Amino acid sequence: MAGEILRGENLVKRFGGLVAVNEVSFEVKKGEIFGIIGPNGAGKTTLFNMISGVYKPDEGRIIYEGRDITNLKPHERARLGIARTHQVVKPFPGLTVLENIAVGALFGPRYGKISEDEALEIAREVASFVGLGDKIELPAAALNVQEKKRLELARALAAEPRLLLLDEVLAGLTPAEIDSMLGLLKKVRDEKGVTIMMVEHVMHAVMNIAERIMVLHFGRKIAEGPPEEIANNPDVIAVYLGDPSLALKFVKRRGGAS
Amino acid sequence: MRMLKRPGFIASIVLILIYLVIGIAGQEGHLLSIIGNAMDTMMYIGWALALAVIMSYAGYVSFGHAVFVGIGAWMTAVTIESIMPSHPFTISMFIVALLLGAGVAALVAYAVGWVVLRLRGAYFAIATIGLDYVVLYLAIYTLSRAGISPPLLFRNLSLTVQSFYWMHFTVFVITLLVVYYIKASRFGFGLAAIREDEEAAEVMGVDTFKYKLMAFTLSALIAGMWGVPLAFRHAKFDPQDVFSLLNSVIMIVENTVGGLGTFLGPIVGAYIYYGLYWSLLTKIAQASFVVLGPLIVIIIALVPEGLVGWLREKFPRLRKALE
Amino acid sequence: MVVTAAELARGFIEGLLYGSLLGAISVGLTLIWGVMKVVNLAHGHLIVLAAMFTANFYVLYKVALLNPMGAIITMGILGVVMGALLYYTSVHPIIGHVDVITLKHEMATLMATFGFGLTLFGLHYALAAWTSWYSTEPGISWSFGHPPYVMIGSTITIVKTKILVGIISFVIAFALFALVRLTNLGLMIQAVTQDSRALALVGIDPVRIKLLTTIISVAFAMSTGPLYLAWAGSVTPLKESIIAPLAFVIVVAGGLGSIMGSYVAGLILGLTYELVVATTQEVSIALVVTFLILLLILALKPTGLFGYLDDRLASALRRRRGVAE
Repeated sequence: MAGEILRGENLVKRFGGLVAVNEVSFEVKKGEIFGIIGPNGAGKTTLFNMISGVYKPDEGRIIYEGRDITNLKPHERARLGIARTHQVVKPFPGLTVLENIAVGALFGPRYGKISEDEALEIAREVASFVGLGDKIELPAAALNVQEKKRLELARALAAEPRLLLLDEVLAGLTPAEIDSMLGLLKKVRDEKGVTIMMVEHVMHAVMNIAERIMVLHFGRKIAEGPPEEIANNPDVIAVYLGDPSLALKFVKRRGGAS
Repeated sequence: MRMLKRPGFIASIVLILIYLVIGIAGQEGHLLSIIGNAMDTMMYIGWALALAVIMSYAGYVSFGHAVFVGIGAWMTAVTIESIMPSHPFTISMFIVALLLGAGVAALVAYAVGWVVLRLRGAYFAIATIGLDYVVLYLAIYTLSRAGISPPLLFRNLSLTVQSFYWMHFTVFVITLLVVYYIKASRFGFGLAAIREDEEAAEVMGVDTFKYKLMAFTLSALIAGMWGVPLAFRHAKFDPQDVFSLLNSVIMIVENTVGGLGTFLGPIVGAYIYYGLYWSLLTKIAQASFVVLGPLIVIIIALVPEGLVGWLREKFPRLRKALE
Repeated sequence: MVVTAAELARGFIEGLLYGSLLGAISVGLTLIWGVMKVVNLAHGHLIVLAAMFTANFYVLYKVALLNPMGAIITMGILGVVMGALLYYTSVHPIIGHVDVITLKHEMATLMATFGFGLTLFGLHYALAAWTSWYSTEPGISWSFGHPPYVMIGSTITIVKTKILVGIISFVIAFALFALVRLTNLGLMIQAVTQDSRALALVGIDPVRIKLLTTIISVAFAMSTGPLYLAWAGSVTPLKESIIAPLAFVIVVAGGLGSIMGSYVAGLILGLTYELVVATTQEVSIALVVTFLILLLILALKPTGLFGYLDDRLASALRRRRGVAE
């Protein structure tokens, strides 16, 4: 059994009277692709924000590579090898694609160990790895949505992270683009050995790629396990039945699987 | 190092050489008129680059940046009148004033930065204006307690125009090299990330608060240095004059006109400002704002990225050259 | 130096009157900043413009409409024109058709209004340099009533002009509050604060509301110019550097967008200022204290102190009106 890289223990986050994440515990193993799904407002992005340090949990602990990182600032976590992308893409619009990626390389776990020139060199390689090799001199603002998502991924990868948090990288992409992005993610895990946690709305995609899936509903964890198990879990189906369109997707998925 | 082969560095060296030649030629005496203009342009470039570190690179518009120039001038007064009260002018007097002016300005920025750099946008701008006024009225109060009604006129140091020139030149060289290094280094990358999206920068590993604090402190240090040759040249410390918001205005205009986020932008902006200022100079200097004001409004509406930024966008091939 | 009780009492009364003026000067700024996130750096210049025009034209023509009290209306009307000008030059190009205003828009309108203000500042000097009838230091003197002051007890004298200015200032501030919080137009303005898309959905053009907000803000600002002139007795373009920073301190302290909050913050600031002056006899230290208060509020509670006042007062007034009907 592979070792664990990240563990959340009884995480709670409240916003005023709303409990966005309620006593959620989980474990992510080194080198796996771990999916998190759930209806809108389930607390998925809040959970990510706690892992990357944007929010401090009200209760509970986060253990990364055996170390308690609950009280570290976001930039300190980034230097330990945690990288993320955002649901609403946040490239640096005025900087070029190359500069965007170089920032990732300079300030990640290699902070202080590489020069600006080396960072630009790494940025060039990563850009072609994600398929942006011919756009490196363009300002990020000039890219389309799909390219911006790739840029965010490249920026995260340039840091050489050990844990990569992907917040809805597939949302808004066409089916063809989703396939190519999934191929890229598999490549990232297989070639670079990066552990991936992904929050997704696109159910079918995450079912295909993730080894294990955790389901959140109103801030609570209601199920966890391999995709087949999740697809047949009565609690999960009940939750998604509350949302007819999602339920339909689920039924289709089950029909396809059996 | 690649950094030394880049256009920004080459431009800095060329500028330094040009002003060196003007300074040497000016020793002859018949070029004195040029010397005055050269000093002015060095100062305006220096002011622009000082503010650029926090405004143009990090994206925090400090509206009270004159406060640091004022502190530099104040510390010069302290050096001449209190620390070395009966000395004739020596290089060491200039150096003491420079260290004190830059040091106190940096210290104030560091202390105040802990508070004001937690604010964003307009709140930060307003806070810096507040700082400017606090120090201005503190200076007036201090002078009045000493029985002086401003301005404080310095004792006669028998300085020549040439010595003023070399003071400006010294600070000019330091400014260009330090600011270029800031822009081209990892620190500059981090500041650019903060300017573009502070939250994303933090998540990517940029220690945003420390970087902002360093940028604000360095920016103040450079502005503080510029208060020193200014005070020597005018042989007085006039709080209402050096702390004037109009000085902050000039720095902001230079950066806006030239273009944010570039090294050359503020320099180009400084020349444009100085050119306009002189060509518009009527009987009363303030009247030139009738032209400068609309210019800012038009630039913000039509070319918010400034002249250098606009050129970079229009001619992508120039991007590398217009660093 | 011993401070007498009479001096303190006089400081207290003048502080309240001065504070009332400062509050009125600031309410227009809090409206445009709170509703549209436009940090109007031309605000102080617009007030000074009104004061300068009043002084210059009154000296020239002695027109009754331009005596300091009549000028409140005249300059308010001029403010409608200036507000439209400000909107179409410095605000509309940046946020006219923007629904959600970001930090970048905020900084852009900040710079643009700054350029607008600088133009007004230069205008005085240009007019003075190029014409013979305009002065940057217009000489003017008014006094009201005979005698021009009121005696309280046997030692405290208060100038009648200052009392008048204090009262009119309150009327102006309250009028803006009533306009924004108790009318239908005010409701629409409030809606722009939330999200201008909502307005478009019910068929109201958000651009028109933004234009109106700017005009109202500037008109109320300019109507306080003559009041400042009456209080201070003289004006120069440089006075902007006193008015504007004070207005910013007050708006921040009062809580962004809160009109009565700004008014109360103005009262407190005026009171502090006059009491420090009365005890130390030093104007400079009073200003140091004033701006230290700003930094302190920004450090501890940047959302301001009295943001809740508008809501409470508006609902209290509405309830009373409901009972009367």
